[in-house]
Amino acid sequence: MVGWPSRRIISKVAALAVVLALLVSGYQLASGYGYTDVLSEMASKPYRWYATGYNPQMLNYNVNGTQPETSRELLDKLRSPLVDNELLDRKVVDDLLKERKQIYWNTLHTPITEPKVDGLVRPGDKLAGSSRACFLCLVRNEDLEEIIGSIQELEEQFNRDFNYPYVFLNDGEFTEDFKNAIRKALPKDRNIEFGNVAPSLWDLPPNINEEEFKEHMKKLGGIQHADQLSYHNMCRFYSKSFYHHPLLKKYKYTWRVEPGVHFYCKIEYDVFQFMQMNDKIYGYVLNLYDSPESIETLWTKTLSFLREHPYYLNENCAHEWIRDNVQKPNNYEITHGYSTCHFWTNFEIMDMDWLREPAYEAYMEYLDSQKGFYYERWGDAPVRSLALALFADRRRIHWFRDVAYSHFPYTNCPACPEDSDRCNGDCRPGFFVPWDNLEVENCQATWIKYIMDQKDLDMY
Amino acid sequence: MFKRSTLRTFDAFSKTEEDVRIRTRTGGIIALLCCLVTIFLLINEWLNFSQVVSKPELVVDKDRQLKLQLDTDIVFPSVPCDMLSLDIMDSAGEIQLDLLESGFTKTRLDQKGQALGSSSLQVSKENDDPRDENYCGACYGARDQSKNNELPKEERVCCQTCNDVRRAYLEANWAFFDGKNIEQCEMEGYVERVNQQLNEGCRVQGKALLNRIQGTLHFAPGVAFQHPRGHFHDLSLYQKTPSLNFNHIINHLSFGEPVEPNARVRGASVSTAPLDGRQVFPERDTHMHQFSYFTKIVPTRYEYLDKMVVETAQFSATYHDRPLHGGADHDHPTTFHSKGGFPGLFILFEMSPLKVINREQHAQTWSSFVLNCITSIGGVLAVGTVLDKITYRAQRTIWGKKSV
Repeated sequence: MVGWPSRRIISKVAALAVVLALLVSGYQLASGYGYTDVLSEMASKPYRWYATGYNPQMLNYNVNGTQPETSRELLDKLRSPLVDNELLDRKVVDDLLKERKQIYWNTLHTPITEPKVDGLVRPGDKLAGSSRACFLCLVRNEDLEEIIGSIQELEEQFNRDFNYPYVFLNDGEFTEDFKNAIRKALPKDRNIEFGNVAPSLWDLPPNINEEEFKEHMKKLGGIQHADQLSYHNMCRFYSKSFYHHPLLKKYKYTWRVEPGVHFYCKIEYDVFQFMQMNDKIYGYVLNLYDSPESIETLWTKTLSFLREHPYYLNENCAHEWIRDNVQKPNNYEITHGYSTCHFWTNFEIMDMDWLREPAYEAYMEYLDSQKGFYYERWGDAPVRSLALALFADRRRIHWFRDVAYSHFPYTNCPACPEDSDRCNGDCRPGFFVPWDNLEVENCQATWIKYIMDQKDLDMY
Repeated sequence: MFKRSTLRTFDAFSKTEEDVRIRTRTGGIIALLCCLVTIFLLINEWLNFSQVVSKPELVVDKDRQLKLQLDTDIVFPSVPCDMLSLDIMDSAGEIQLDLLESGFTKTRLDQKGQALGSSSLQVSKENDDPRDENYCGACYGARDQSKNNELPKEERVCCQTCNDVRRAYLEANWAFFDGKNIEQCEMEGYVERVNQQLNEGCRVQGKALLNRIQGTLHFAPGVAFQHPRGHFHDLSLYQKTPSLNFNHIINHLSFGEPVEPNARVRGASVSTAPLDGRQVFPERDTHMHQFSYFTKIVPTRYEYLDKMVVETAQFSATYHDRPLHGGADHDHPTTFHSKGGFPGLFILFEMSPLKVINREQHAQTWSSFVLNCITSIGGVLAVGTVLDKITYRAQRTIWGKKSV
């Protein structure tokens, strides 16, 4: 062909090329930010997409699809112990305890690195750091040094590559020194927000009499923190109000960080994206028994709540874990049917949208009206654990085995393959507590044996 | 002065008349491309210019006469507080004994890790002595008291308090154990307290000053005693109680001034506390084991653009633990541990003679920035000219003299 092609043809071809380029880059952007995945998910699972922000009055049962017969069966099961008391003689108990110890030992000594699932988001991927998530620290001004230590370890092991924001909350006011020290301790591009907890969310509710509170606490003499009003306020805040705080409203996931904790291993994937993609609403590390005197009536009150609202019970709830009467039968007796097993919530990765659902809200309102946060010493840990174990499908609760974490005095330390340098070697794999007599407080073996299935164990 | 024509001879940018110039479409495209590339490069240069980098420099440390501060917070779950003692010895021959009695806080921990109180067990510091003036405490054979009857009261050899008896026993190299059946100790309640607290743990927090030379800081059981023959500890009670050991959790260990929080992530705390959070609980019985950390301390200084200067010390630590009876471990049967010593936690520190100075500087100076800008503009234009010439020639040859 001789000669330059005519102007009209050139302009048409150029226009076509530009339009094509725009389409391709538009699709790339959309897929990069995960919109195509969300679209396909919405197309395949319409129920879940419509389920959030739901009004229970519209549906008088089956919020979780539980049939009334299943609820009744579950309620009956919940009232019975895990292992029949008649079968529990000395030898049987010893064997069971030995088996649990062995389970824990075996699980913790299996070398792992990270979940073996597809779609793990690595640092530098398009989705890395794009989840609606934040770190939550409820601290006082005097905890500055310790919280900086925790945050720096967290940054080094995880957040340096993902850049998630921080939210600091205080029931009082943060001093300028505190804020400046935190801002300078973190990289410049970190989003840091400071807020204080409104008295309406923190202080004694009007239905509690302070004199009666002091009376009750005198009776509960030996329990840690029983006499500190601020501790009760904190437990109540962490149970029912924290996800309503204005600074947290815009986030879906939150990772709670406390002062004076240690992280020993690198986390090389985005945990929030992991939870979203694998349909997990809660992630924890340590699983313990609680002091039964502090939650004496919690279980009986929970049972009456369930009798009134049986439709909140999830048909695949983690009831065996709640009913364990083998390892600490004394705890089961004092609480009239609750093993006192709970997730240690000083580390939790929580999907706050699940907390905003009607089941949890109703449960919290009910417990608040029963005044147990003040007349007893209900911690936010057993309360949240019960809610999760009863109202959520057990497969949506995730044990972060690979996170090496320590908060005095308990530690979760995974074993690493020989050639791996993911962990810095400062914790011993399988180590749980420095004092031997506290080994019995570990409820993780119960969870592994009764709640986790082979698929969960093979995830690592 | 200069005639117009003289300056004209210097003009390197000779221009041509408008009608003689040929303007082509491809030339226009190439010119626009060059503009875009130049702008992009200039923006890059500007971003580079505003960057601040930290340049390290090694110098020989000149501050060797100053003392170095040590800050520590360690938990020993299996050693009671009153049995724990902290001594510092350095190669200048200076010895600081019994530091835990001054400047350090010892918090007793019960079997569940709860704090019981931070009072240190004082061995007879009370002054109100209910005994009468002529009381001369027996030393139980540790000191020669046979001539006491002949001597006047002031020169008698007496062991008045429990502490005196303990010192006498140490000097005589006798085992004191828990002071049972020694009247002074029973009266002071020392024996009872010691035995009650045998299954407690201890948390030690505090600061100490070190000389900037090689030395050892050790936590050991029993009172320390300096003797011409060497440094000893009274291990009698520790050896009698096999449940005790020096497993530990290091909550914090750092040398030098603590780094202010506002200097921390500007790089200043890179390696100032690598042992924080370290838990040491070996699977084997460590009753007669010695844990050692060999640390090498590097003094570091950070100088920031806003004239802030932070002096601190980074260190690297190597961990080792060995049984006192020596011999080989099962995982390395051909390597033998040395025998001897006493159980405890030893931190052997050594000062590096080099100091690292990290200076914050702008990555480029003004003149280099301007130079880079000019170079990039010039280079891009030169390449553009060459490209244009090639395309013009190519077009002329391929499509003939048809006007483009």
